[in-house]
Amino acid sequence: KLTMSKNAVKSRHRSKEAAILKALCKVPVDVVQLRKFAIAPDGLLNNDIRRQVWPYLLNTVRQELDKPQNVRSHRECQQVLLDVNRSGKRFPPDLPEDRITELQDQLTDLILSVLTLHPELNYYQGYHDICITFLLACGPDLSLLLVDRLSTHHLRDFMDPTMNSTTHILNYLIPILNKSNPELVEYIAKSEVGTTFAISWLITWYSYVLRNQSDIERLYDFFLSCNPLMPIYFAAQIVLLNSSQIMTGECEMSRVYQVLLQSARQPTLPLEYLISKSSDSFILFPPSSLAREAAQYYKNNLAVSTFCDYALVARHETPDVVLRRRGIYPDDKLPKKQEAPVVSLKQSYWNASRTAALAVSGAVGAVVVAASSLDWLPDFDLLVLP
Amino acid sequence: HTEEGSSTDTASKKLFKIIVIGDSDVGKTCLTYRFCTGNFPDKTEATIGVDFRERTLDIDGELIKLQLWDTAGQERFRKSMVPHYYRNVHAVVFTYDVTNSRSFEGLPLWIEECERYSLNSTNIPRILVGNKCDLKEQIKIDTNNAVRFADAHSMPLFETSAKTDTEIANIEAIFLTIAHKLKSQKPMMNQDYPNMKRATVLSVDKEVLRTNEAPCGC
Repeated sequence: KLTMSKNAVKSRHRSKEAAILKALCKVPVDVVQLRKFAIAPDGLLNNDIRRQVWPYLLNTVRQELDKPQNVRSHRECQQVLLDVNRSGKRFPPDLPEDRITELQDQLTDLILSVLTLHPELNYYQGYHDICITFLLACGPDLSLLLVDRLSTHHLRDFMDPTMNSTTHILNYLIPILNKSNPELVEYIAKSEVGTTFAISWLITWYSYVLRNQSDIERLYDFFLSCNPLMPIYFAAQIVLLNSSQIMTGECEMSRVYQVLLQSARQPTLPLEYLISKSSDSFILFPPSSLAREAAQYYKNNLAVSTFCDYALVARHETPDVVLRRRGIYPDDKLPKKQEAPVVSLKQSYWNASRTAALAVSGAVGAVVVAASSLDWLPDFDLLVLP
Repeated sequence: HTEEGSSTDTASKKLFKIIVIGDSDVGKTCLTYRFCTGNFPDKTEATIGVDFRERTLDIDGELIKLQLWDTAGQERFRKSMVPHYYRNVHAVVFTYDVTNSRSFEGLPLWIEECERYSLNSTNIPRILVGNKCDLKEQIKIDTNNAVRFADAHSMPLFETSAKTDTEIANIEAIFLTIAHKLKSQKPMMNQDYPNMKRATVLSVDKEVLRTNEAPCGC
C-alpha cells in the first residue's frame, strides 16, 4: 500500500508546480506538456495554476469576448434564477452570506451571458453546476471565456433543444462496460435499469455528485484535457468499481438504480485510480471502436420501448447522425443512407463546428492522451483502494 | 423512520413505486425528503435527472416499502428522461407550488403526459399536492380552485408545507393515503373513505394548519 508522507507529497507537488510553470514559459507554450500534467496524478494542483493552464486546454488564450448586454431579459432567465437560488450547497461553507449572494449574481450573469452569445444553445438544469465550478476556480471574467468555449464544444450536445443526443451519449456506457465485464452488462440489461442513472454525472461533469470542490476541480483538469466522451469512460469505471455490489442482491430495477446512483456519491471515491482506469480504457477502446455497439444498444432500447415519442425521434435522429456530429466516425466510414431534412438544415452549422471541435478537443485531447499516456500512468498496485 | 435507501431485503415486504412530478422548484425533493427522513434538507438544490428515496411503513402489521422517484422539473427532462420512469409505477404524486400560478397551470401538461406514458393508468392512484402553504402572504392558488381541479381529475388534494415541522403529520397522511390505497387496491375515493369526501380530507388538513397557527420560523 502507498503511504507517502505529507512532506514527500509536498515536495512532489513543488517540483510538479515548477515543471508546469516552466511549460507555461516556453515559447510557444508547451500545450501538450500541460495536458499531460493536467491528466497525471493530482492534476493541476491549485487554482493559481488552473487559471493559467485551463485557457490553454480550451484554446482561449488571448481571446476576448464582448460582454453581452441585457442578459437578464433572456428567455431562460427565470429557470436559471430558480437553479442559482438553490445552489448554496456548492459554495464553501465558511463564506459569508453577502459573498454567496455576490457569487450567485455573478453565476446568473455568467450563464445568461453565454446563452445570449449563443442563441443556439439551450440551458439545462446542471449546466449551472458546471458554471459554479469555473466561477469558484477562476472568477467571473475568465470563467466567461472558458465556459463560452466549453459550451460550444464539450457541452454542446447537452445543450440541444432536446436531450436526445445526451441520451445517446449515455449509451456508450454499455459497450465500454461490456469490454471489461460482460457479465455485469448482462445483469444490468436484465434489471432493465437503463443508463439514465448516469445523466447527472455526465451533464454536470460530476459536480452534482462529488462533495469537494477540490475533487471536482481535479476532475475538470482531466476532462478539459480529453475527448468530450471521457466523462462516459469515467462513469464506466465507477460502475465497474461497484460491480460486485451491483450484482449482489435481487436483479430488480430500483435496487440496481439505487446502488448505481449512490456509487458516485461515496466520499471515498478513488479519483486518481478512476482517472487512470478511464484513460486506459479510452486508449484500449476508443469511441470509434464503440460506436457500432452503442448504436445497437440504442436501437435495442427502442425496440423494447413503449414510448411512441422515442420511435418518432429515431426516425429523425438516428444514432449515426449523432456520431457524425461528434466527428468520431471517420468520413469514409460514414453510413451513406438517410439524410433527413431536419438534419440537412443543421448541416452547415455542424460542419464548421466539427472542424473546430477536432482542433480544440478531439485532436489535441484524445490523440495526445493516446500517444503519451504510458509514461505518466501510475502503477496500479501502488494505489490505495477503499 | 428508516434511513434513505437503507435496507435491501425486499423479499418480505410489499414494494410500491411512486413517482413525484411537477414543475421546477415546487418542492418535490423537499416533500420526499421530509417523508423519508423526517427532516427538511439544510440546503436545497435543483434535482438533476431522477433521484430516489425510500421508506418502509408498518401498515396494520404488514411492512410496505414505498419507493419515491423524485424527478427534475425542467421541461427538457420531462420530455426525455421522466417518461422512462413512468413504467411500472404504482402511484403518481402531482405537485404544485401554491405561491406560483404557473406551476398550477402546468399541471394539465403533466397529467396528459402521465396518461400517455403510464400503462394501465386507470388503476394507478394519483394525488395532488399543493406545497409551500407556510408562505401564507404569497398564496396565489385559491384552495377552492385547486379542489375543483382535483375533482375534475378524480384526485384527492392535499395542501401542505414540507418546510414546516408541524406539517409532518400531514405529509405522513399524504403518503399513508397512497400506501393504504395500494395495499388494499380499492378505488381510493369511494371505498377507503366511504363517508368522507375530498373536501373533508382537506378540512382535516386545514385543521392541522389552524391548530398550529404560530408563524413558522423558517
